[in-house]
Amino acid sequence: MSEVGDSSSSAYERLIGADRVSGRLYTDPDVFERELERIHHRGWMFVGHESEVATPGEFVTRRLGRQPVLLTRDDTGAVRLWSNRCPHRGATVCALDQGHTRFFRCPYHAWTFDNAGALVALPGEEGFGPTFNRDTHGLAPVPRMDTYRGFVFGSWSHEGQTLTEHLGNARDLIDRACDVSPVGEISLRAGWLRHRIGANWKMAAENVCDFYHPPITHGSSGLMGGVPPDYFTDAYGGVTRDLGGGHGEVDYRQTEGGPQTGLGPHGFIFPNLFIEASSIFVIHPVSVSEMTHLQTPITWVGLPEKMQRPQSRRFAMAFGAAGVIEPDDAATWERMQLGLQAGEPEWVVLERGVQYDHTREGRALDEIAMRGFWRHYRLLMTDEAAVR
Amino acid sequence: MSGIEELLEQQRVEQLLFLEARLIDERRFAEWEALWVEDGIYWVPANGDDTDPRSQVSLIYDNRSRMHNRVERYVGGKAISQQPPPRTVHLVSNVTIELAASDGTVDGDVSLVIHSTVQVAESRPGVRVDWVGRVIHHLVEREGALRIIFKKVLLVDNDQELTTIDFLL
Repeated sequence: MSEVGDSSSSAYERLIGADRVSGRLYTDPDVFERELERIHHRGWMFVGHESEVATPGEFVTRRLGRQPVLLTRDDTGAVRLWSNRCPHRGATVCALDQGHTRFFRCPYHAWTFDNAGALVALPGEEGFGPTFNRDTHGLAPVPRMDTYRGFVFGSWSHEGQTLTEHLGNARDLIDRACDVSPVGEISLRAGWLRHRIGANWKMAAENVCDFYHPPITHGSSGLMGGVPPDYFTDAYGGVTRDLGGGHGEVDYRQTEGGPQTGLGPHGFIFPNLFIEASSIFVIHPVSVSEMTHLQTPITWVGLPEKMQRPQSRRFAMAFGAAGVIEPDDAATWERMQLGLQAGEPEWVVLERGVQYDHTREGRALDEIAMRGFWRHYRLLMTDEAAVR
Repeated sequence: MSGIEELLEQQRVEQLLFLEARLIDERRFAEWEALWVEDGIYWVPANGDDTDPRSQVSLIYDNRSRMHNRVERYVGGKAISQQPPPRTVHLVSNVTIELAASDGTVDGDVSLVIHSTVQVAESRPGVRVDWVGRVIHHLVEREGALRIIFKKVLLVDNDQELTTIDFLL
């Protein structure tokens, strides 16, 4: 098209207002490519949890942005993150979602790598001549990997913010998720449900801190029965918070009884991690009109079974492609994706509670965290300094 | 069992599976529920066929009350994903009977273990998906009729990214 694609920062400054954003940001393929370049292939993203590779030799494969990666624990016990790509001819070295191995063997020419990434065997090595150096042909590490309390993050950029700087106030979300456990530790070993949805990834991101929608979108779920009738109203007393850096949360701790939906916090860590009380969701962008929503329940190490079990049961009922919550969210986002093909009106409205923006904290149903998401997004999509 | 008896048994089982498919496709969910005994389990594993449903995620792992909740949602008029409801056609095939007595893993009053295959054509606005899987039913004789106590659907792509499944498989 596109006004967006042809121009740079100034177009985005117009398209992302203080209380509205252009519908094109969800539908224009050029926008999506710029997001991948400037957000998913540059900044920090959640990729997995150390507990998924709890013992030496365990691995999982994931995508980091659009790129395939391999999370391993090597024989020394260190967690490592690699491009899942043979440095020889480019085939993925691992085709499985998860497993346990000491070696990854490329199917094409049998270049073989240990779980610390080193090239340890290849057929006919002598044919490459005396200058061939195995040491420069190991698996390529993702340029930066760091962890916080077992949450593993990766970045395709060699430089930029540290993970600590990126997480900022959102570290508190991870702390609260972990501290439900008496030993401060979570485990994610139940496997992931992977739901393909025909909608732009930002709809899932924004939806995390939208408490305006649940009684409507999820009215059919049968899971609203235990909730006070005024739970999803401003009067109930929860707050929504723009945590900065695109992160946000909805917080009901100050209300009597606290959050009903689970034991942990309810918040979003930019750009792809949703800590949903008792579950972890990850948002994978696929194309401008497609995402994959990954979901797994949290197990809290040391938490009594009787406290854990209701959370597991709720996950089983609610989430995944066949849950009673998730399909209604997916259907809503797919309806948005269809509706936004209409170019008029141009804007998507984000006005609720705008009068509280200066405090970064609004009423439970306010769109303050969504505006925080967009403020950070605008910075990343326009900041020339961030391009380097 | 004589040859004639085996044929009659095969037909009786197939008729039940065909009826179940028809009740789903015609959205006669109360009658579908009536095919089940009270302690029934409806299971659609994820990430493989032989997972432990207590420790691993499943696409569906419903007891009877959850099955009821599920179909109530389909007809309750509030679910956005049912506006309009997906249309489905179930094709049931490859029906074979194993006597429970030959299957040491099944206990209780299970009388028959049925293996079949299903192909479900799903249509909703803008989406047309075929779902294919092997199906295992455990049937019991209650009050003179065969009823379902266990149904496990092994989708061929249950380890892949899947679109919404907001219908009965």
